[in-house]
Amino acid sequence: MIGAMLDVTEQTVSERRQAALVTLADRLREARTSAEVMGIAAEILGTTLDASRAGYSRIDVKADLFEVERDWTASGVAPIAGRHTLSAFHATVGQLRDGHALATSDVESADWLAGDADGYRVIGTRAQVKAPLFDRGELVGLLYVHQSEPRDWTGAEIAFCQAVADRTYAALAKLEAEAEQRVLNEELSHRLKNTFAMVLSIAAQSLRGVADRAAVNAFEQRIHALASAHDVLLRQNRMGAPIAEIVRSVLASAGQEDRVAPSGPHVAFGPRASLSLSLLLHELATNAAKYGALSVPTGRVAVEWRLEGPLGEEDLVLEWRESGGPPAIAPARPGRKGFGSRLIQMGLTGTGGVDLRYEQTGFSATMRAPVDRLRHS
Amino acid sequence: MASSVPRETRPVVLVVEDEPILRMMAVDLVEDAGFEVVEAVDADDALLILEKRLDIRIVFTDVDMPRGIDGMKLAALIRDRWPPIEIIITSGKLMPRPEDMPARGVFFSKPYKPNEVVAELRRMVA
Repeated sequence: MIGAMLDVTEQTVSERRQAALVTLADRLREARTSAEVMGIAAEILGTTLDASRAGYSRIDVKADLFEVERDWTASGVAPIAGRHTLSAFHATVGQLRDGHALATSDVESADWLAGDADGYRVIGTRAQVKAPLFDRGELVGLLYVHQSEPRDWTGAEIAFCQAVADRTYAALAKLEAEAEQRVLNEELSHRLKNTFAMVLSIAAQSLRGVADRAAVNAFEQRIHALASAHDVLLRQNRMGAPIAEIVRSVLASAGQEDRVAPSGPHVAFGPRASLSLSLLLHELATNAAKYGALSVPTGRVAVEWRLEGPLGEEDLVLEWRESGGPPAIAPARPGRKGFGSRLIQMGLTGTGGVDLRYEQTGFSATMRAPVDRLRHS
Repeated sequence: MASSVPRETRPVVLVVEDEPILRMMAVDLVEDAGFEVVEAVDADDALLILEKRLDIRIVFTDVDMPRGIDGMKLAALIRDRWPPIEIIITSGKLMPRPEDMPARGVFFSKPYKPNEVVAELRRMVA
């Protein structure tokens, strides 16, 4: 009878640990800083194991320091947050060097930790589990669970600590990689913007004597459109550039953001599609300012997009609709067309799918492309 | 030189930019807009010029310069030591936080549009 009850208890405890690992994974996914990651891990370790104290300690062996930003403690237990010298725990550090989690049921009777006995007494700890973190062979941190009284850790409890540690360290590594990526992106963006500035400077010097100022201006503005497109892309990380953001950026760069109303669902474009759309919108805005709705004070442009077609094979349909301006007149087409109209004809993916209408109410264009290609190119 | 504006009355703009190609464009832009231009290759150079010349109305500076202090620190120094001087800051990096900008300072992200900078220069001396 007693045996059966123990089994039930052991089973619920095991279920509780499983549930804790699921919660841990969910919460770590939302964490944005390493302090948050460590806080979540500490809380889950401490509460699930009914420990006295749990937390993450950053270790600098060379500087002989360990540092706890903030730990979880049961009520009435003092936290050990702050910076401490590592020398009080030399025996412990030595034990951790083999890379395995360390479990001690009573530090007072563990003679291999005898050198650290004072250290443990100061922090009021009799039993513990520690899971080390290494970076390039160097001990750089550990997750700890402390108990004020002696405690016989079960194999399942030690495995649980290790599982929490593995997930926590993976989350920390991911945050670190993202931070590095951000720094790289910012540096790249900075260089790219400087390079665009230099291209414009070289153009300004080289084209000083050119009489056709309209052509020079058109060139400079296209480079600006390209630069602002890169800017939008580099401000996003991984997810691509939201279409509304691209529309706003290009129209702001053309000084037309007040007269153009963008609307549509959230769709993020990949890098190539973002650049194409930016250049395309720039040409449409330039034409509208020269001949269309934006050439008169009352004119407006609606930029609307939607998804059409069966789920999984949707097309993105983007409409550019001018109103309030002069009637649109289809351009005569003698000889080779200009860069702008060729670009517009190429559409969102460079392969067409463009319908241009020159109507009494103004110019409008409908562009269509598989949304999957726009997202991933 | 048949300029409609006598040379000595043109407002003076100090351009601070370590990259020669970008400095060239900035200098042309300022001159074409009808200002007199003085060039500095970094912040130290700019400070020496500011100490000698008392007629500078506007400083147009880059932020990221490898030698000496950067354009943001230069701008803060100017605001402190020569309060009447107007300041335009340009950079390829992210826009500075408002609290880091000098009072009355204006920021243009690189690549800037010449006509926008010219409009700002004119507004500042109007």
